[in-house]
Amino acid sequence: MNSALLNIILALIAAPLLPGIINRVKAVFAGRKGQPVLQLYYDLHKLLKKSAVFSSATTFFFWAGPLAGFAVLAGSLLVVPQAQGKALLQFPGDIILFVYLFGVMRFFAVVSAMDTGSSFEGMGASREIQFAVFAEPALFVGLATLARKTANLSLSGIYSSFSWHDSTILMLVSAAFFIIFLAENSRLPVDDPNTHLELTMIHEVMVLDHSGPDLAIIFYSASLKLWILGSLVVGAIIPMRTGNIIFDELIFLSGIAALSLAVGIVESCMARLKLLKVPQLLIAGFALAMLALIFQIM
Amino acid sequence: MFEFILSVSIIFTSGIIACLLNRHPGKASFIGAAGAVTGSAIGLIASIRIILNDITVYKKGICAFNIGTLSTGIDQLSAFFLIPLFILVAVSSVYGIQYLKPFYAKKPIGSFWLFFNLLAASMATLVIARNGVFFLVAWEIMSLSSYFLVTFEDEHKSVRQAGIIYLIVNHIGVMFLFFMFAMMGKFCGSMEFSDFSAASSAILPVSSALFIMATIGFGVKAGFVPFHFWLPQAHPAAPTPVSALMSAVMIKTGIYGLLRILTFIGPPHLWWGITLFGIGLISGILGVLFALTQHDIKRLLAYCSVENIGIIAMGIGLGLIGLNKKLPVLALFGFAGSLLHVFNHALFKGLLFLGAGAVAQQTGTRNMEILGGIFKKMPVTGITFLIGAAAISGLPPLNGFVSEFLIYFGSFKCITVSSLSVVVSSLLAITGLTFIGALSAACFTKVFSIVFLGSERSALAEKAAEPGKMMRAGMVFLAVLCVLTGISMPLIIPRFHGLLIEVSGLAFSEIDLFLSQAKTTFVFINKIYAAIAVVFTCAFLLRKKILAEKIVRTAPTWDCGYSHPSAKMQYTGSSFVQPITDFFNFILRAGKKTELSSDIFPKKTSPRFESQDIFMRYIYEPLSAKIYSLIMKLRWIQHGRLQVYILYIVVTLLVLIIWKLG
Repeated sequence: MNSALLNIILALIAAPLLPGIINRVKAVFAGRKGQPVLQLYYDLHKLLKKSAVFSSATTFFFWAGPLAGFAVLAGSLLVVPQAQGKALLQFPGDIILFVYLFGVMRFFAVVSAMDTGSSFEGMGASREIQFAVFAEPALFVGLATLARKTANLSLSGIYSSFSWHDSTILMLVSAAFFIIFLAENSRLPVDDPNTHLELTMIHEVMVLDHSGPDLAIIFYSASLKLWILGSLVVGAIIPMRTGNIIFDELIFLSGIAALSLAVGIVESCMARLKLLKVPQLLIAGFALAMLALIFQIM
Repeated sequence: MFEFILSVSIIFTSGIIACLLNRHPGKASFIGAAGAVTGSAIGLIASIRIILNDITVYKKGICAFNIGTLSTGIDQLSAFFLIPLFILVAVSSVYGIQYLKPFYAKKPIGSFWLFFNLLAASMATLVIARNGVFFLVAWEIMSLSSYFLVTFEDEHKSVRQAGIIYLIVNHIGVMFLFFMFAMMGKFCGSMEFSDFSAASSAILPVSSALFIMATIGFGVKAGFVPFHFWLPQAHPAAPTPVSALMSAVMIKTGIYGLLRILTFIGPPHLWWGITLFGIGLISGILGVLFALTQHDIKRLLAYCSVENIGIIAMGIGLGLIGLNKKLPVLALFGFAGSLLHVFNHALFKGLLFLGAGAVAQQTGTRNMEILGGIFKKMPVTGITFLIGAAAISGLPPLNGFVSEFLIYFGSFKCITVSSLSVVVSSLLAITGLTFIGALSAACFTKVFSIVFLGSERSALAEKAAEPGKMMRAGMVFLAVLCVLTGISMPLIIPRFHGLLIEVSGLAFSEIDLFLSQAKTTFVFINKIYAAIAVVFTCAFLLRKKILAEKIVRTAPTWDCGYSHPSAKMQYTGSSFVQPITDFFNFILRAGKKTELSSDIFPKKTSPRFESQDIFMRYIYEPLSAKIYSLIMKLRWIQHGRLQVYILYIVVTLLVLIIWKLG
């Protein structure tokens, strides 16, 4: 069986594990017993069985937005390099499409949130779209650095041709990607996924009115997004490709697990940043990626 | 060639007939629009045929005056600009029939159609003109007829002011074009375009001067920053079919002129490319930042035109850099991207203006902060507007994405080369485009959600209803074209062959290589679109099946336990973009006025966000005040006594005679 195809299936099945791992780590740090690692699976199961309540202000964008977001994520799964740095489809220029697919997802998430007319969701949507203004250029500069380094324009092409020699640049780019990863997935220090009604919220407040199957697909998409962007970080941090499918798969999966661990540790040790400081964090990510590019040029 | 002359004449004549029927607005509208549609259909079919068969036609004109001939010609570049032109003329005139109905009693409808058709005909003429003088004549007719259209609702002071600014600025721009053509005529010994290209070695010594004049002269029309400031004033003032036509097509005649001149003035210098690229980058970023702060929906769209013209200029700039540095990849992707963006922007900007006009007419306001929740009442307008909004934000699978994709792709390819200037401009292109894209996504999610979603913020929004059939037809047609262009790139891109040869002057084989590369990429992208569509359909059906067995309830939006949520409590457009505008306030300098009372008992306060154009505020207003005060010093010359004026004439004549004799 094709390893890239296997990985897509694996991502679709195992993605809800990641929030479980993160929460587990946080529980251990806090000395709590914590929820089971499989909690998100139980939640999804329960939500799918539930009915839904719709706001009278909403139109079909309200429920079509999360569906479109999920579909777009599934599409980006086709080009994202996982184990061995390979994806199912690869073509020069898929880096551009990849980033823009996330733009589509964000667009629909915002429209879907604004559809309720709630000022809380408006607030979340406003922040989500603001952070993208800083995060997207950073992601692109990081990718441009890698493209220059490997003289390749496809994600798979880039990720399958790393070697240990590139460590300085890879470290800088991975650091930038890690910051973007945290911001895009609404994790600490940008956003606190645990509070549901803080005025500081971004992602969780945007889905305040969604319920039942719609909420299930939103939670599932969020975990899938963790997995997909996580693959980008892991692929750059561990540029080791043995050529053996089983070994590579193990390296990749343990990388993803370690990344969740790292997120859990970050969330346990850090407080959320003041909202006004978030752009500075993202600009720091941009600066790291830029530094990597300057090293690469020189 | 015959078809084009026929098409222009039909459009022109029907305008004149409409004007004669001024007393019968219904008939005038019908004749004017019917002529515009027929003429456009003929022209459109002929242009598509030219592109498909890769034909070039040139017809030396009869010598009409001593100074110029009426030479006409059509090549790939002309045909490519004519396609969006004819589409938009047809669509906005159909839309216009319905749009003008409320004006029947108070406005001369026939004259409107005269100027509208004159504008359409003059734009088509200037694209097929092959003589400098002829080109300028058509250019002037275009500027003047659009002035009369902009001032259609001249009972408002703001409209009259916008009109006068438009008139003055465009004439300052055309002055540069006069100089440019005069200079070219002097060096080539003729005003014929064919002589310009034949005598390109003669122009070479002054090519940089010509480039500067072309950039300023055409840049004023196109709306390059810092010459953009007439645009956000004139476009909102004009009636909607006109603003659609102006924003979608007329400003592109500036781009056409620039590209046409670039084919005459020989191999580009590096600084030309860098200049255009820089202007484009600045226009793009400032355009979208200014757009973010607007409350007037049409004004916002006008600023977005500045942004998109910026993207087009960035593409041309990259193209020139690529030509100079002998990097065909950069040149071809830059030119192809910017040309495609010319076409795409015409479609989605036309669509957005028509949608905004429909909203404004149905609700009676262009201020988006008092709208909201009208999607349920205007679903067709809403859906088409959303398509336009997603397209202008550059989102796949719509047409805005493909043109930006080409520019990105060229830049990514060139980030690996060794030349530092190329790497830096590629990097700036990538970050700039992403930045612009993210900001315009913010801008258009704001417009769409504030205007169409949520609940009604005022009684104006409550009475909204879907516009008439003809207005809807125009919007639906453009929306369908936006989607189709986005997904049929593998078919469209091979047709760029002749166009790219003309614009870039590169070899056949290099263009072929580029086209096949672009085509395979687009085929891959379409595969991913197909996969996404399949997943979406499956998820949709699954969701439907799950919910079918359950009782779905409707309730008010949950406002965290607050029991009386009102429409006024919704997030406003200003607050939606406030984090971004605050961050960039060092550029925007938007005024935020909140009079908070410090008393024990708080009084009624009203925060206001006011945006201003920094160029207008800090450059043009002081400048025009300066000029005005200088002119006022010469006021004593003109005091209204006839005898003294006659004396002036006599003295002038005397001086001239002495000069001639001596």
